[in-house]
Amino acid sequence: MKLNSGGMSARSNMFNLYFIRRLLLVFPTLFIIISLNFFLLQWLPGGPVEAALAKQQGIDSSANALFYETDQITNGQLIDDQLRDKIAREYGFDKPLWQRYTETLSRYLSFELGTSYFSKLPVGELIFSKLPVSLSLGFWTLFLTYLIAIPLGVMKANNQGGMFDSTSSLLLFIAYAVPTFIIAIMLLILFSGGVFSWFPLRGLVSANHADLSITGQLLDYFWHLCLPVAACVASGLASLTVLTRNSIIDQMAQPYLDTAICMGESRTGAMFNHVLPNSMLVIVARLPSDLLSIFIGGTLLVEIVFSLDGVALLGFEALLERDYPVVLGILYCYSLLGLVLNLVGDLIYRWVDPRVDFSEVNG
Amino acid sequence: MMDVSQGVVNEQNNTKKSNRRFSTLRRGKYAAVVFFILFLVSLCSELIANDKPLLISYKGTLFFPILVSYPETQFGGDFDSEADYTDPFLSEQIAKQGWALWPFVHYSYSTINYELSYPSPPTSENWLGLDDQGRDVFARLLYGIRISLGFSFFITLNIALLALVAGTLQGYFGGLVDLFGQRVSEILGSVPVMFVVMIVSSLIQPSFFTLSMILALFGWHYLAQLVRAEVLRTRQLEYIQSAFIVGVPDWRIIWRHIMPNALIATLSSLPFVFSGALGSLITLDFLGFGLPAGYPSLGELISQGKNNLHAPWLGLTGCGAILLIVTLVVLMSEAIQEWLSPYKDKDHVEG
Repeated sequence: MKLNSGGMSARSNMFNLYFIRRLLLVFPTLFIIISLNFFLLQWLPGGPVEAALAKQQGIDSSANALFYETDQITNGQLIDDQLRDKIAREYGFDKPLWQRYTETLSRYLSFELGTSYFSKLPVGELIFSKLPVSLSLGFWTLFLTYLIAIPLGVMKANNQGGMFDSTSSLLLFIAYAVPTFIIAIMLLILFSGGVFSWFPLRGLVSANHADLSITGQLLDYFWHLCLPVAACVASGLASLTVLTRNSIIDQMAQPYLDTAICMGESRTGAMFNHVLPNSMLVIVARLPSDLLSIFIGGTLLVEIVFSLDGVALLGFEALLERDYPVVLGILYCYSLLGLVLNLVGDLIYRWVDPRVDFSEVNG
Repeated sequence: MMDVSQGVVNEQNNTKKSNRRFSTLRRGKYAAVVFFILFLVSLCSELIANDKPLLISYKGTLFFPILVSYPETQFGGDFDSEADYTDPFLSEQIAKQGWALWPFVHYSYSTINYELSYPSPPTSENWLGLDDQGRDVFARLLYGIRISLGFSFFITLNIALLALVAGTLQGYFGGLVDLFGQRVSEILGSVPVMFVVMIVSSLIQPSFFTLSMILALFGWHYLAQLVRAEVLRTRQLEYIQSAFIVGVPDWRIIWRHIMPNALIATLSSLPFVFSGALGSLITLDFLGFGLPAGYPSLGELISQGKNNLHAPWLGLTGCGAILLIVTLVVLMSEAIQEWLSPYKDKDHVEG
């Protein structure tokens, strides 16, 4: 008994050491990401100075212009050098590169994201104001994915090798392999304007949203969310469903199930009391990586397709305008979120299944 | 008693499984056949959809307009510029003193049909209609499929090479190499890759090769993780351990014993790499950060579909083509997985 507990604490000590090391490694990783982002944007042709000049000359460079011709944003010859210098001074582009770089670094480490060149608003505030839209999309996608994937996975596990199992697998794999925004565009063409006009084309709420009653407002909100969430769910469903299915099949093969049945428990009872709780652990452990893939992967283009005024659309338009602070700020937030969620995911995995050992490589 | 019934159940399960295995393999084979026919047909795009005749007989001589560009004066025209064979005057001249053999579709991907207002719905002349710049959608689709497939093959090849090298080195040498490799993977895994690729491809005007290099550089890390895991596993096998002990040089162990194992392990996830590459190219083209304007690209077709909702055939054609390609790839990947691991369960999706 004593020996055993001693072994346990040594194990958990190693475990803690590993995660402390992982936590410390987050900082150099973050540093590399910031530097990478900074230098990538520095090399971009047509920097903010050109974009600002273009704007003053009335050349539109918003997202809409992108779908037509975008090559002519900068119109170098026409620009008066004096005007250029003035704008460069205004945006701090007269300082040397290294100075801007160290400034950026120190600002980012204290979560100071700077101000947008064009709207003159602090980037943090700008991102924060777009957060409700992105969170709406992400939350309902996650909720529906789990709501559909778990029963579907259970059904597939019960039908293992059958017609239903293989057909649904094929459909899920196709939905997984088709890019999310293709599904979004198909839904858009089929149901909001192209063939049928059942759903709104753009935005999160109607123009007369404020005049509606509370129920009306809610209905309006969900009505707008239907297609974008459907697109995201369709492409995110496969991995979770298959994971649920495999995890349940795994648990059903365990000897403890036979024991329980031999001791007089019914099959359904054993299923609900033992199989489901045990297989759910692995699925709960997936939550961080699912969150990550929803916020970083799919929603970017879905927001653009459905003109949802979220963080991704903000970043995309900022990229078109060369609004460096906004682009950098969003990249920074996404990357930080990614690193933290990866770490949390590993922690939960380890907590759920103590046999998992991430530190297995030693020379 | 218990044992016997268990045996019967297992046997039933086994027949069920082998039936399914058989039908999966057959389905995959059909999918592969259709896929390669599609690819071959798209390789011959010039012979199927072109605004030049394949062969002209004029005053008793044969001309090959697809291979050689002839001046208009050759066929009784007035100008020294290249002949426009869709010109009614010229075709009349050719018809009078000879004949012309045309491809099935008289439009190339950039030929503009000035006779209809565009975008126009499908007609007997333009099988899938005209896009919003008056170009034949069928021709654009055909050429677009060729570019998409060729591009995705190229990226898949590059990613497989990068991932094999990186994953093997990481798994085999471990230690600092592994730590460094894992950091790189972590950075690539937590950065929104599409965003960074968009930044890079607006930085340099991307061509076919630069764009595929960028996508490969940002896309290898996931596969490398798989290779690394596989190498870590095979490294512990007894025959490789014995090879260590008798002092076989590292490169030889890697080349002879570890690489083949890792290669087999990667093979089953290559179809997903392929469809991922296809998806990234289409996404970038859709957003306008992909191949230069003028290329016949599926992504551009889809963005036209999005901008012209009153012309649903544009978007539906593009989406339908992608859906078809992806379905074929998924069917093939199922068969490859079944073929590689006959006794394992086939359902695996990478998170």
